[in-house]
Amino acid sequence: MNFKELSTKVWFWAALFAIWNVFMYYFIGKFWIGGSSFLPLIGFKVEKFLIPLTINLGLITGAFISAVVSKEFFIRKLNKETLIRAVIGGFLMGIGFTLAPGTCTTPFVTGMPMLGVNSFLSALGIIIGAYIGYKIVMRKG
Amino acid sequence: MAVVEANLVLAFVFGIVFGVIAQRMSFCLSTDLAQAFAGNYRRILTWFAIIFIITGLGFQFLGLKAVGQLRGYGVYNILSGIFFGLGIMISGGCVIGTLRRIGEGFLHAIVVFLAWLPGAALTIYFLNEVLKPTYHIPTKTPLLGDLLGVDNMIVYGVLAIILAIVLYWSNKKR
Repeated sequence: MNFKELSTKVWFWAALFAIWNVFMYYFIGKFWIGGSSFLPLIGFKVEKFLIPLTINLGLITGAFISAVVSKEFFIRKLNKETLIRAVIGGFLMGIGFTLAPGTCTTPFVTGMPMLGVNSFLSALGIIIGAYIGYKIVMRKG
Repeated sequence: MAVVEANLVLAFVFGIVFGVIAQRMSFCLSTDLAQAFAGNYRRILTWFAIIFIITGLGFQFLGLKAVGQLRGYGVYNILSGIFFGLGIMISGGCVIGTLRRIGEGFLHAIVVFLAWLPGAALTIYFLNEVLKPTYHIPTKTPLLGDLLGVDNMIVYGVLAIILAIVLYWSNKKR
Protein backbone atom coordinates (compact mmCIF):
# COMPACT_ATOMS: atom_id res chain seq x y z
CA MET A 1 0.00 0.00 0.00
CA ASN A 2 1.55 3.33 -1.05
CA PHE A 3 1.10 6.67 0.74
CA LYS A 4 -1.62 7.84 -1.65
CA GLU A 5 -3.77 4.82 -0.78
CA LEU A 6 -2.86 5.06 2.88
CA SER A 7 -3.90 8.71 3.00
CA THR A 8 -7.47 7.74 2.09
CA LYS A 9 -7.81 5.55 5.18
CA VAL A 10 -9.49 6.97 8.29
CA TRP A 11 -7.56 4.59 10.56
CA PHE A 12 -4.25 5.96 9.27
CA TRP A 13 -5.06 9.57 10.19
CA ALA A 14 -6.68 8.51 13.46
CA ALA A 15 -3.48 6.63 14.38
CA LEU A 16 -1.39 9.69 13.49
CA PHE A 17 -3.67 11.92 15.58
CA ALA A 18 -3.34 9.63 18.61
CA ILE A 19 0.43 9.19 18.25
CA TRP A 20 0.86 12.95 17.85
CA ASN A 21 -1.30 13.62 20.94
CA VAL A 22 0.82 11.31 23.09
CA PHE A 23 4.01 12.67 21.50
CA MET A 24 2.95 16.24 22.33
CA TYR A 25 2.26 15.35 25.95
CA TYR A 26 5.70 13.78 26.17
CA PHE A 27 7.39 16.97 24.92
CA ILE A 28 5.34 19.84 26.32
CA GLY A 29 3.22 18.17 29.00
CA LYS A 30 -0.10 19.00 27.27
CA PHE A 31 -2.52 16.96 25.24
CA TRP A 32 -5.10 18.29 22.83
CA ILE A 33 -8.12 19.95 24.45
CA GLY A 34 -10.93 21.72 22.69
CA GLY A 35 -13.34 24.44 23.74
CA SER A 36 -11.80 25.30 27.10
CA SER A 37 -8.64 26.41 25.29
CA PHE A 38 -10.52 29.52 24.11
CA LEU A 39 -11.40 30.74 27.60
CA PRO A 40 -8.50 33.26 27.55
CA LEU A 41 -10.50 35.08 24.84
CA ILE A 42 -13.13 35.93 27.48
CA GLY A 43 -10.48 36.79 30.04
CA PHE A 44 -10.57 33.53 32.01
CA LYS A 45 -7.38 31.83 33.32
CA VAL A 46 -5.23 33.18 30.51
CA GLU A 47 -1.98 31.59 31.71
CA LYS A 48 -3.51 28.17 32.24
CA PHE A 49 -5.01 27.92 28.76
CA LEU A 50 -2.38 29.82 26.79
CA ILE A 51 -0.64 26.71 25.44
CA PRO A 52 -3.90 24.88 24.51
CA LEU A 53 -5.05 28.09 22.78
CA THR A 54 -1.77 28.25 20.83
CA ILE A 55 -2.16 24.59 19.82
CA ASN A 56 -5.61 25.32 18.41
CA LEU A 57 -4.43 28.45 16.58
CA GLY A 58 -1.82 26.16 15.05
CA LEU A 59 -4.60 23.70 14.18
CA ILE A 60 -6.44 26.39 12.17
CA THR A 61 -3.16 27.30 10.44
CA GLY A 62 -2.39 23.66 9.68
CA ALA A 63 -5.86 23.08 8.24
CA PHE A 64 -5.42 26.20 6.11
CA ILE A 65 -2.02 25.07 4.79
CA SER A 66 -3.34 21.58 4.08
CA ALA A 67 -6.46 22.95 2.34
CA VAL A 68 -4.40 25.31 0.16
CA VAL A 69 -1.87 22.61 -0.77
CA SER A 70 -4.62 20.13 -1.64
CA LYS A 71 -6.57 22.85 -3.51
CA GLU A 72 -9.53 22.49 -1.15
CA PHE A 73 -9.47 26.05 0.16
CA PHE A 74 -12.48 28.11 -0.91
CA ILE A 75 -14.33 30.95 0.77
CA ARG A 76 -17.75 29.40 1.42
CA LYS A 77 -20.38 32.05 2.01
CA LEU A 78 -23.28 31.46 4.34
CA ASN A 79 -27.01 32.00 3.93
CA LYS A 80 -29.48 33.27 6.53
CA GLU A 81 -30.52 29.82 7.77
CA THR A 82 -26.91 28.66 8.16
CA LEU A 83 -26.13 31.87 10.01
CA ILE A 84 -28.96 31.33 12.51
CA ARG A 85 -27.95 27.70 13.04
CA ALA A 86 -24.31 28.71 13.50
CA VAL A 87 -25.21 31.30 16.16
CA ILE A 88 -27.62 29.05 18.12
CA GLY A 89 -25.43 25.94 17.81
CA GLY A 90 -22.23 27.78 18.66
CA PHE A 91 -23.83 29.40 21.71
CA LEU A 92 -25.02 26.00 23.02
CA MET A 93 -21.56 24.52 22.39
CA GLY A 94 -20.02 27.39 24.37
CA ILE A 95 -22.26 26.61 27.35
CA GLY A 96 -21.56 22.89 27.02
CA PHE A 97 -17.79 22.93 26.90
CA THR A 98 -17.42 25.27 29.87
CA LEU A 99 -20.08 23.77 32.14
CA ALA A 100 -17.85 20.74 32.74
CA PRO A 101 -14.18 20.79 31.76
CA GLY A 102 -13.39 18.24 29.08
CA THR A 103 -16.85 18.25 27.50
CA CYS A 104 -16.40 18.68 23.77
CA THR A 105 -14.57 16.57 21.20
CA THR A 106 -12.03 15.90 23.97
CA PRO A 107 -13.78 12.91 25.62
CA PHE A 108 -13.59 11.00 22.33
CA VAL A 109 -9.96 11.74 21.49
CA THR A 110 -8.34 12.22 24.91
CA GLY A 111 -10.65 11.70 27.90
CA MET A 112 -12.09 8.22 27.39
CA PRO A 113 -8.76 6.64 26.38
CA MET A 114 -7.51 7.99 29.72
CA LEU A 115 -10.49 6.32 31.43
CA GLY A 116 -11.70 9.61 32.89
CA VAL A 117 -15.12 8.96 34.46
CA ASN A 118 -16.15 12.52 33.64
CA SER A 119 -15.36 11.89 29.96
CA PHE A 120 -17.58 8.79 29.82
CA LEU A 121 -20.43 10.81 31.37
CA SER A 122 -19.80 13.75 29.02
CA ALA A 123 -19.71 11.42 25.99
CA LEU A 124 -23.05 9.92 27.10
CA GLY A 125 -24.52 13.42 27.33
CA ILE A 126 -23.06 14.39 23.94
CA ILE A 127 -24.61 11.33 22.26
CA ILE A 128 -28.00 12.09 23.86
CA GLY A 129 -27.81 15.78 22.91
CA ALA A 130 -26.54 15.02 19.41
CA TYR A 131 -29.37 12.52 18.84
CA ILE A 132 -31.96 15.11 19.88
CA GLY A 133 -30.22 17.69 17.65
CA TYR A 134 -30.08 15.21 14.77
CA LYS A 135 -33.83 14.59 15.03
CA ILE A 136 -34.52 18.35 15.11
CA VAL A 137 -32.29 19.02 12.09
CA MET A 138 -33.77 16.10 10.12
CA ARG A 139 -37.32 17.25 10.87
CA LYS A 140 -36.50 20.74 9.65
CA GLY A 141 -35.02 19.15 6.51
CA MET B 1 10.00 32.90 30.54
CA ALA B 2 12.20 31.48 27.77
CA VAL B 3 10.82 28.00 28.52
CA VAL B 4 7.25 29.30 28.20
CA GLU B 5 8.07 30.97 24.88
CA ALA B 6 9.77 27.82 23.58
CA ASN B 7 6.73 25.79 24.63
CA LEU B 8 4.43 28.23 22.84
CA VAL B 9 6.41 27.82 19.63
CA LEU B 10 6.37 24.04 20.03
CA ALA B 11 2.64 24.13 20.82
CA PHE B 12 1.99 26.07 17.61
CA VAL B 13 4.00 23.56 15.58
CA PHE B 14 2.17 20.64 17.22
CA GLY B 15 -1.09 22.43 16.41
CA ILE B 16 -0.16 22.80 12.74
CA VAL B 17 0.33 19.05 12.45
CA PHE B 18 -3.03 18.46 14.18
CA GLY B 19 -4.58 20.81 11.63
CA VAL B 20 -3.09 18.92 8.69
CA ILE B 21 -4.28 15.60 10.15
CA ALA B 22 -7.79 16.96 10.85
CA GLN B 23 -8.04 18.44 7.34
CA ARG B 24 -6.83 15.32 5.55
CA MET B 25 -9.08 13.13 7.71
CA SER B 26 -12.07 15.51 7.35
CA PHE B 27 -12.41 15.13 11.10
CA CYS B 28 -15.82 16.07 12.50
CA LEU B 29 -17.55 14.39 15.43
CA SER B 30 -20.85 16.00 14.44
CA THR B 31 -20.84 14.62 10.88
CA ASP B 32 -19.69 11.18 12.02
CA LEU B 33 -22.31 10.99 14.79
CA ALA B 34 -25.01 12.01 12.28
CA GLN B 35 -23.82 9.23 9.98
CA ALA B 36 -23.91 6.78 12.90
CA PHE B 37 -27.51 7.81 13.73
CA ALA B 38 -28.34 7.17 10.07
CA GLY B 39 -26.94 3.64 10.43
CA ASN B 40 -23.41 4.11 9.08
CA TYR B 41 -21.30 3.81 12.22
CA ARG B 42 -18.13 2.31 10.69
CA ARG B 43 -16.19 5.57 10.29
CA ILE B 44 -16.72 6.85 13.84
CA LEU B 45 -16.10 3.37 15.24
CA THR B 46 -12.84 3.09 13.29
CA TRP B 47 -11.28 6.36 14.40
CA PHE B 48 -12.57 6.08 17.95
CA ALA B 49 -11.21 2.54 18.38
CA ILE B 50 -7.80 3.46 16.93
CA ILE B 51 -7.50 6.64 19.02
CA PHE B 52 -8.73 4.86 22.17
CA ILE B 53 -6.20 2.04 21.83
CA ILE B 54 -3.15 4.22 20.98
CA THR B 55 -3.84 7.15 23.33
CA GLY B 56 -4.79 4.72 26.09
CA LEU B 57 -1.45 2.95 25.70
CA GLY B 58 0.27 6.34 25.96
CA PHE B 59 -1.71 7.09 29.11
CA GLN B 60 -0.85 3.80 30.71
CA PHE B 61 2.86 3.99 29.94
CA LEU B 62 3.53 7.74 30.27
CA GLY B 63 1.10 8.37 33.12
CA LEU B 64 -0.96 11.15 31.51
CA LYS B 65 -3.44 12.87 33.81
CA ALA B 66 -7.11 12.59 32.91
CA VAL B 67 -8.84 15.72 31.65
CA GLY B 68 -11.52 17.48 33.65
CA GLN B 69 -10.23 16.51 37.06
CA LEU B 70 -10.87 20.02 38.37
CA ARG B 71 -14.49 19.32 39.18
CA GLY B 72 -14.45 15.55 39.17
CA TYR B 73 -17.64 14.11 37.79
CA GLY B 74 -21.35 14.38 38.25
CA VAL B 75 -24.70 14.97 36.60
CA TYR B 76 -23.39 18.24 35.20
CA ASN B 77 -21.07 16.23 32.91
CA ILE B 78 -24.15 14.70 31.25
CA LEU B 79 -25.92 18.07 31.23
CA SER B 80 -22.95 19.82 29.61
CA GLY B 81 -22.72 16.97 27.11
CA ILE B 82 -26.38 17.43 26.15
CA PHE B 83 -25.81 21.15 25.53
CA PHE B 84 -22.69 20.42 23.52
CA GLY B 85 -24.27 17.55 21.56
CA LEU B 86 -27.27 19.69 20.64
CA GLY B 87 -24.93 22.52 19.67
CA ILE B 88 -22.75 20.46 17.34
CA MET B 89 -25.74 19.04 15.48
CA ILE B 90 -27.40 22.45 15.06
CA SER B 91 -24.19 24.27 14.09
CA GLY B 92 -22.92 21.38 11.97
CA GLY B 93 -19.48 20.94 13.50
CA CYS B 94 -17.62 19.89 16.66
CA VAL B 95 -14.65 21.87 18.01
CA ILE B 96 -12.02 20.24 15.76
CA GLY B 97 -14.48 20.28 12.84
CA THR B 98 -15.19 23.99 13.29
CA LEU B 99 -11.52 24.96 13.63
CA ARG B 100 -10.66 22.83 10.59
CA ARG B 101 -13.43 24.48 8.55
CA ILE B 102 -12.20 27.95 9.52
CA GLY B 103 -8.88 26.94 7.93
CA GLU B 104 -10.73 25.65 4.87
CA GLY B 105 -12.56 28.96 4.32
CA PHE B 106 -16.03 28.28 5.73
CA LEU B 107 -17.51 31.58 6.89
CA HIS B 108 -20.16 29.79 8.95
CA ALA B 109 -17.39 28.16 11.01
CA ILE B 110 -16.12 31.63 11.97
CA VAL B 111 -19.65 32.53 13.15
CA VAL B 112 -19.85 29.29 15.19
CA PHE B 113 -16.47 30.11 16.73
CA LEU B 114 -17.59 33.65 17.66
CA ALA B 115 -20.86 32.29 19.11
CA TRP B 116 -18.88 30.01 21.47
CA LEU B 117 -17.61 33.03 23.36
CA PRO B 118 -20.91 34.45 24.76
CA GLY B 119 -22.01 30.88 25.61
CA ALA B 120 -18.75 30.27 27.47
CA ALA B 121 -18.95 33.68 29.19
CA LEU B 122 -22.51 32.95 30.37
CA THR B 123 -21.28 29.75 32.02
CA ILE B 124 -18.06 31.12 33.47
CA TYR B 125 -19.44 34.36 34.87
CA PHE B 126 -22.99 33.31 35.79
CA LEU B 127 -23.91 29.59 35.65
CA ASN B 128 -20.74 28.44 37.41
CA GLU B 129 -21.57 30.59 40.43
CA VAL B 130 -25.08 29.15 40.56
CA LEU B 131 -23.91 25.54 40.14
CA LYS B 132 -20.84 25.74 42.38
CA PRO B 133 -22.51 24.01 45.37
CA THR B 134 -23.28 20.97 43.18
CA TYR B 135 -19.68 20.43 42.00
CA HIS B 136 -18.11 17.37 43.53
CA ILE B 137 -14.36 17.97 43.73
CA PRO B 138 -12.49 14.73 44.49
CA THR B 139 -9.01 14.63 45.94
CA LYS B 140 -7.99 11.97 43.43
CA THR B 141 -8.31 11.91 39.62
CA PRO B 142 -11.58 10.06 38.92
CA LEU B 143 -10.70 7.17 36.64
CA LEU B 144 -13.06 4.36 35.66
CA GLY B 145 -10.94 1.66 37.31
CA ASP B 146 -10.88 3.53 40.63
CA LEU B 147 -14.66 3.80 40.56
CA LEU B 148 -15.07 0.08 39.77
CA GLY B 149 -12.37 -0.97 42.21
CA VAL B 150 -10.38 -2.65 39.42
CA ASP B 151 -6.86 -1.88 38.19
CA ASN B 152 -7.04 0.77 35.44
CA MET B 153 -4.72 -1.24 33.18
CA ILE B 154 -7.20 -4.14 33.29
CA VAL B 155 -10.15 -1.86 32.53
CA TYR B 156 -8.23 -0.31 29.65
CA GLY B 157 -7.21 -3.75 28.32
CA VAL B 158 -10.78 -5.10 28.42
CA LEU B 159 -12.22 -2.01 26.69
CA ALA B 160 -9.44 -2.02 24.06
CA ILE B 161 -10.04 -5.71 23.30
CA ILE B 162 -13.83 -5.16 23.04
CA LEU B 163 -13.30 -2.22 20.65
CA ALA B 164 -10.79 -4.21 18.57
CA ILE B 165 -13.25 -7.13 18.28
CA VAL B 166 -16.16 -4.83 17.33
CA LEU B 167 -13.96 -3.09 14.75
CA TYR B 168 -12.82 -6.43 13.28
CA TRP B 169 -16.41 -7.71 13.21
CA SER B 170 -17.72 -4.57 11.48
CA ASN B 171 -14.96 -4.78 8.84
CA LYS B 172 -15.66 -8.46 8.26
CA LYS B 173 -19.39 -7.78 7.95
CA ARG B 174 -18.60 -5.22 5.28
